[in-house]
Amino acid sequence: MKKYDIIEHTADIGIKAYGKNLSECFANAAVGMFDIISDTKKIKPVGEYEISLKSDTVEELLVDWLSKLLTVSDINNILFGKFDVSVDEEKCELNANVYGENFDSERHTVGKEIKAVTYHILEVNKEKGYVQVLFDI
Amino acid sequence: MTWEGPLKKIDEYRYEIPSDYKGAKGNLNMKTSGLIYASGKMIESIKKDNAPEQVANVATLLGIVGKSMAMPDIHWGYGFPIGGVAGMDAEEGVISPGGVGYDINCISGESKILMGDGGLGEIKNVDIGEKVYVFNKEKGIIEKSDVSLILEKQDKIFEVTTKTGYKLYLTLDHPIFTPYGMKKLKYLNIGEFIGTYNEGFKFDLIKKIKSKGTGAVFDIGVSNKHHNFIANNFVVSNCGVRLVKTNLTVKDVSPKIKEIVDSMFNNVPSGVGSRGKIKLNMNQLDEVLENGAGWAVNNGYGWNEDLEYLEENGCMKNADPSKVSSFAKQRGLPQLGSLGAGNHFLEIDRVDEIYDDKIARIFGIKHKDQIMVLIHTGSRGCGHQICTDHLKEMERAVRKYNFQLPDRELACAPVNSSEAENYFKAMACGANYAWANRQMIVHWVRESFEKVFSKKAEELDMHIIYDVCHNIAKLEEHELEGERRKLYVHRKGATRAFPKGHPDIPEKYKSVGQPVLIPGDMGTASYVLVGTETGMKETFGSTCHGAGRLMSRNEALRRWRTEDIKREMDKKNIYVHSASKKVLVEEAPDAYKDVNDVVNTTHGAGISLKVAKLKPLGVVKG
Repeated sequence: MKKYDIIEHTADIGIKAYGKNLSECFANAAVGMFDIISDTKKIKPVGEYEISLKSDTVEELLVDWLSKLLTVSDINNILFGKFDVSVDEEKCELNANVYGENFDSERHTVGKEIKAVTYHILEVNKEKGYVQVLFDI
Repeated sequence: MTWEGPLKKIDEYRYEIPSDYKGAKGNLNMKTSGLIYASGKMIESIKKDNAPEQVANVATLLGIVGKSMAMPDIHWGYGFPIGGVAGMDAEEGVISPGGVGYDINCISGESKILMGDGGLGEIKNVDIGEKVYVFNKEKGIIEKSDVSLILEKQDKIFEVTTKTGYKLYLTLDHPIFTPYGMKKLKYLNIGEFIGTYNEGFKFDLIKKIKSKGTGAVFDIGVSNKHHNFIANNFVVSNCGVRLVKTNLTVKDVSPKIKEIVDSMFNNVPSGVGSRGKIKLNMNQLDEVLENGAGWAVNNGYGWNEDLEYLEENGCMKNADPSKVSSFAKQRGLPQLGSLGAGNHFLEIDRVDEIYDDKIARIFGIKHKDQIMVLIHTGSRGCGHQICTDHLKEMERAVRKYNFQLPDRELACAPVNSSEAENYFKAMACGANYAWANRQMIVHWVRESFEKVFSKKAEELDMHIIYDVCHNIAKLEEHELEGERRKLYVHRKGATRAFPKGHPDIPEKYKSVGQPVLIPGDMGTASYVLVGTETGMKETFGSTCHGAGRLMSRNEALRRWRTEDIKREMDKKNIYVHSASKKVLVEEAPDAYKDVNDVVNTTHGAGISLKVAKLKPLGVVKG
C-alpha cells in the first residue's frame, strides 16, 4: 500500500499520508517528511529515540509530532527512517519509538530543508484513513 | 486554483479588492479594502495561486489600520500572503460610554459611561484608576477595566439620537460600534445601525445627528485593549539581504571569479542543515539573541561602523531570550554563522545600470561594472523553532479569546496579551540572530576577498551599503489622516523603504532616502531602490522584496536537469557553486517571476524608485 502522496505547491510542499489507523497515518507522515529531507530507504536504524506527546486536538498532535521530529533531527544532526507510533485519539496522546542515524553527506541523500510544519490544509481524517499537512520550505 | 474574486483596476499599477467582497466561502467581513500593486501583465499570474484571497483575509483582522496591501511579488503564504503589508493599531482602547462598545477617542464630557459598579457616570467625573466597563467585541460581552489615561481638549461635539431615544455626544472622529465593525461618526448616516448599551447590548437605528458646537471632550484610554492585534505565523525568520560594495571592477574579478566563489563557498558553511564553524555555549547564544549584530562585531566579526548601516543597527532592543524555548536555542547553537539552503545565497554582482547618478553615488555605487556582494539569509533553525513554538501559543490564544478567523494560519492575539508580548520579544530574538548571522558571513566574505586579492578589506573599500530585513513586524509611528499613530507594521516578504529625512535611516543617506535591496533569481538581476514619500504615505514605507516563485520546486525538477541549468548559467557567464544539484534546478531562474516586472511596478507606482541594477557574475547556493 502507498504510504503517502506529495502535495505540490508553488513555494512549499505537503504530504497526504495513508494508513489503516491513525498510528499508521502518523508514521507514514513521518516517512514522507524524511523522504523530503533525505531518503528514508538509505537511513539505517542505528539509534533509537522515544517520543511522548500530548496535545489539545488530534490535528495539533500531528503538527507537534512532526515538529518534534524536525527539532530533534536538526539539533542532533540525525535523520530518522523508521517510526513505531502509537496514537491514543481519545487522550490526544502519542508515544513513539523512532530509529535513525547521524547525517552522513557521503551516504545520505540531501533533499530540501524544511523550516517548519504548518497548520495549513491540516487534516486528520480517521474515517477515510489519511492525514495531510504542508511544510514551510 | 485561480482566484475569481473582484479586482478593480485603479490605475496602471494598482488593483483594489473592494471591502464588500465576502470571500470564496461567503463569510468574510473585510474591515478595509485590499490593495495589490501589480501591472496588467502580472495580475493574471497573481490570481493563479489564491494569494488575493489572503489579502482579503488579512483585511478582516481586528485593529487593521489603512488597507491590506500586497506588493507585486505577492504569492501564497501562510495566513498572510508573501508580499503582504498591513498596519495594526497599537494604541486605541475599547470602552463603553453610556452607550456601548466604543473605541474611546473623543467623547463629550456629558456622555454617560458605565462605571465599574454598574451605575452610570459622566465622563468628566471619571478618574484614572477607576473601573469602567469595556465592550469586548470578540466575546460580545462587557468587561471591567481600569482607566489609565484621560486627556481633555476642545473639539466640535455632535449629538446622536437613536430611534429608541438614546443620546450620545461624540466628535466626528469617534468610532462607533456597528454591525460592520467600528466606524467613525463622520462615515455614519441617519438610518444606519449602531450599538447601544442600556441594560444590555443591542443595535439601534440612528435617527438624528445634530451639531452641539465646541466643548470639552475627553480621550480615555483603558488598560484592557481588545481590538489590537498582531498576527503570528511568519515574521520570525527575519530573512534579509545585505549589500557590500568594493572598489573592484569586472576586469579585476572576472579572471578570478571561480577562485573567489569557491573561496566563499568554503568559508561560509552552506547547505541543508549546515552548521557554523564556531562553538557557543547557551549563555553566549543568549547574548547573540539579545544583542544581534553588535554581539558579532564585539567578537571580532566585522567593523564597528558596520552597525550604522544595518536596519535597526542590527538589534531589536525589545529582545528577551527568556521567551525563546530551549529547543529553539539548541537549534540555533550549531547553526549560527551559516547560510542554509533553498533560496538563500551569496552573490558577486556587477553594477549593470545606474538609474539615478546622484543617489547611487551617495549609496557608494560609483560606476558601471563596479563589483558588489549580496548576501541573503535569515535566522536558520532558531527562527523556525521560535515560529513553531509561538504559533502553538497563538493557536491556544485563538481558542481562549474565541476569535473567528477566516484562516487558521492567521492566528493572532490582542496586542497587550501575554501571548502577543511573549511572541514579540521572542521574534526580536530571531531577528537579532539573523543580523548576527549576516554579520559573521560578511566577515568571512571579506576574508575570502582578502585572500584572493591579497589586499585588506579596507583597501578594497568593502563597506556595507545596507542591510534590510524583509520578514518582520515592527512597532512604528505613521501619519494617518493627519494624525500620528503607533502601528505594528507587518511586512511579510516586503521591505521597509523609508524616505529621505526619516530619523531611522543612516545619516549618510538622510538626504536621499533608505537603500532598498531586492534580490532576484540567480540568473537575472538584483536591484537597489530608494524609499519615497509616496511609499511612506501609501504603504507605511514598504515595498517589494524579491522576484517571488512562479512554479513549485517539483515542477522545476520535472522540467529541467542540472545540466540544463548549468548550461544556461554558463551561457550567461555566471559561475555557480551549489551545495546540492537539486537546489540548483529548484532555484532555476525561470521558476521565478521576472524581477524586472516587480521593480518596474513599484517604481511606476512610486512606492520605491530604481537606483541601480546589479547582474550576477558568481553565486554560492546552499
